[in-house]
Amino acid sequence: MLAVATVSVAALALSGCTDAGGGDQVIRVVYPEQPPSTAKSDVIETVKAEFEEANEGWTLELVPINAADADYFSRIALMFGSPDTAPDIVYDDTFQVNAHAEAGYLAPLDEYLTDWEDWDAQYSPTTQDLGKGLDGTSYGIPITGGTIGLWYDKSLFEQAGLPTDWQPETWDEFVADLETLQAAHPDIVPFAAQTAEVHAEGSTFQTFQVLLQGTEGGLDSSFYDPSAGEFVTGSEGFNDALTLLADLRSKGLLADDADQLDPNYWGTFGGWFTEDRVGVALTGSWLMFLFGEYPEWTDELGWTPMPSRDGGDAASMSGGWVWAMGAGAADKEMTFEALTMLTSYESSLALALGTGDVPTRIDVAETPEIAENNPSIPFFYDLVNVAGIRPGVAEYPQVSAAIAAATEAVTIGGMSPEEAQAAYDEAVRSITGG
Amino acid sequence: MSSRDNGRGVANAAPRSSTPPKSALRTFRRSVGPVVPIVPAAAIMAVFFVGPILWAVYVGFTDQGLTGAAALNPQWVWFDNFERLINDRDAHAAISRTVAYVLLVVAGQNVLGLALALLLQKRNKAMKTIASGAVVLAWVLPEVVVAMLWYAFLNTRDGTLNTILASVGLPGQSWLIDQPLFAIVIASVWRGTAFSLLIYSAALEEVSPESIEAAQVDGASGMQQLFYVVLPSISRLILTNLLLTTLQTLGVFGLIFALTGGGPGGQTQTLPLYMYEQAFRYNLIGYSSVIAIVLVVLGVILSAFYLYAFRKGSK
Repeated sequence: MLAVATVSVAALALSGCTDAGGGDQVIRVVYPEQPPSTAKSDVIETVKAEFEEANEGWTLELVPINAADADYFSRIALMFGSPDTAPDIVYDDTFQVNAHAEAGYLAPLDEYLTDWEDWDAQYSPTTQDLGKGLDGTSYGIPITGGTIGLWYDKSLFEQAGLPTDWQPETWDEFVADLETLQAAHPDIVPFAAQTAEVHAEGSTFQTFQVLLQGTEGGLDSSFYDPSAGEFVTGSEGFNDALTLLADLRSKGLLADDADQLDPNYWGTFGGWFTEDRVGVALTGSWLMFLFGEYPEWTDELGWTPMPSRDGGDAASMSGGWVWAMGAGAADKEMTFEALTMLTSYESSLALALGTGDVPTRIDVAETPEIAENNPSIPFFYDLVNVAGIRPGVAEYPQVSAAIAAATEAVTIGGMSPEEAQAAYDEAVRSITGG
Repeated sequence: MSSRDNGRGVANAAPRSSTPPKSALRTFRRSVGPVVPIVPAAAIMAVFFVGPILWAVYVGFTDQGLTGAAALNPQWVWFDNFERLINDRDAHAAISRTVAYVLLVVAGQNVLGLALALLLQKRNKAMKTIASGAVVLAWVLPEVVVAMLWYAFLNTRDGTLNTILASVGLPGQSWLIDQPLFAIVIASVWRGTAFSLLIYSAALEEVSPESIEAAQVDGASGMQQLFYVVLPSISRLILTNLLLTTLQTLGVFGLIFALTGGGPGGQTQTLPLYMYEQAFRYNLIGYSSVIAIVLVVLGVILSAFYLYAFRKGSK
């Protein structure tokens, strides 16, 4: 009887295996795709057709995952848990690469990259670094990038008597211009930025870390000290950035609480631009992704860097995605072959045009079509030089959540910057076990 | 075949001489025999139910992660996760929030379910069918659908409630933001009432009409009949229903997750949502296992309380 039970259990397990397709001739490609966008699938399906034609007997099995970013990361982490579902090729966020490499999910690529002539010819050293783990090994080939800047509505600026080639130099100037805008247009939201906990990386990477980068010493002295390998607590920069948010809130320059707490606030204020209902937004180069039915955005909107607190270099953050190889890939040579096709000039160009993301390859960035398709790209591409990046340590998601709690506390919860920073410091100490 | 032959051989041998070893065999067969048929089921339970529980307990003593070095080589950390829980104010808040949520929802749906059952008791069949059908519909709907319905109703911008209020000149409110706990409690009660209604309707059928008539003859008012005759005679079912609804409510995840996502600012983050966040946002599988254990313990404590009250009540 026990044997019967064991057999039936084994049969259940086996039936799970056969569904996966099996066989060494299959390369499983996992990537996020949120309908209605098909930008990634379109490019990847072209590569699939070419790869399968060039390599008889091989199949690229495409596994698009429709999930929000944070869910996507837990989905792929779970998929890596079993050889039956583990991706052979995965579209991974640059700030997850180190944690996924440490977990043993990703294969080191250095030995393959040295033989690939495009690597040094088409990827700048700063771009190459985006796909590296903290151990300096390359685990991914960067495919798209993104930086954060200010988007603004030129017509609203003009009516308020502000320059349409806006370029605030300091935070004071930035706030003063927003107040001018508010005085001229009492019905609009002068400044849109994500600050609620529910926006997670939207509040931390796209808003708060940009502000931190603009404080004295930048991210290294206010957030994560790479030389010491630890998160910074009690910094003045952190207080400055929280104070700026609290000021914006008390001056009524942010949206209503209900809008700010809406999980889809980013999409909401993107839509407001099409109706002249928002003056300025701090967000990514990918905002234009929302403007499908609004082709006039290229003329009606402007973009400019977020200033630093006291002037000087602009402040920004950069992130992006890489194509990486799963550690369990059966035939690494063939898998790398597929990787090079996914990151080729044609694929990268098609993806950049389809998503509006900032390209990573030098030859793609220099292609005129890119700027014709999305005139903001050259601006956001150049921001990479001043932008900070997120530390790829395993504790980052928790620390990031603690930041979002602080930004929500000062903009919606009515907490003072000092109280919010004290709570953040305590959270960081408990996360890092200090 | 051969086993049947053996069986017959044993049976044939038995009458000839009933020696002690034979009767020992019989005792063995009698005590173990009935157990044999449930072995497969028990084995499956062990593999798929007890196994994961034991694994969760084991993982609770490690720093197992979903990603990072702790996913590859989890370390045995003894009671670190438990210590973390003791010092984790967010977890404490989630526990007290969970208790408040469970109490409100269980009280709400039991009182409403019982009240509806009493009201419907003496109505005609058509009325009963229509009214209980409408209530049961809420129970038939999946949690996520219920959450979407209530989101549509309470939503600030174009929510039905605010639209109704505006049409009679009353100001609207951001219900999901100003009163989030109220929102999830109402939605849960709305859904759960059907379950209690069904249980209580059946229970009321069983109350003997004679005892009610006797109470009426003695001049008991409606309220007195309810409290001194009806409720005592269904007290066992009330306790059973309280136990069932408590355990159901303790584990609610989908409804809250879809309605408020635990927000705003964690104000509706009950323990299951907190556990989810620790496991799948922060990748702390070890710590979230400890929270799972706490959730189980919470369920056991509440069940024990009901069973105690149950036994006391039936004495």
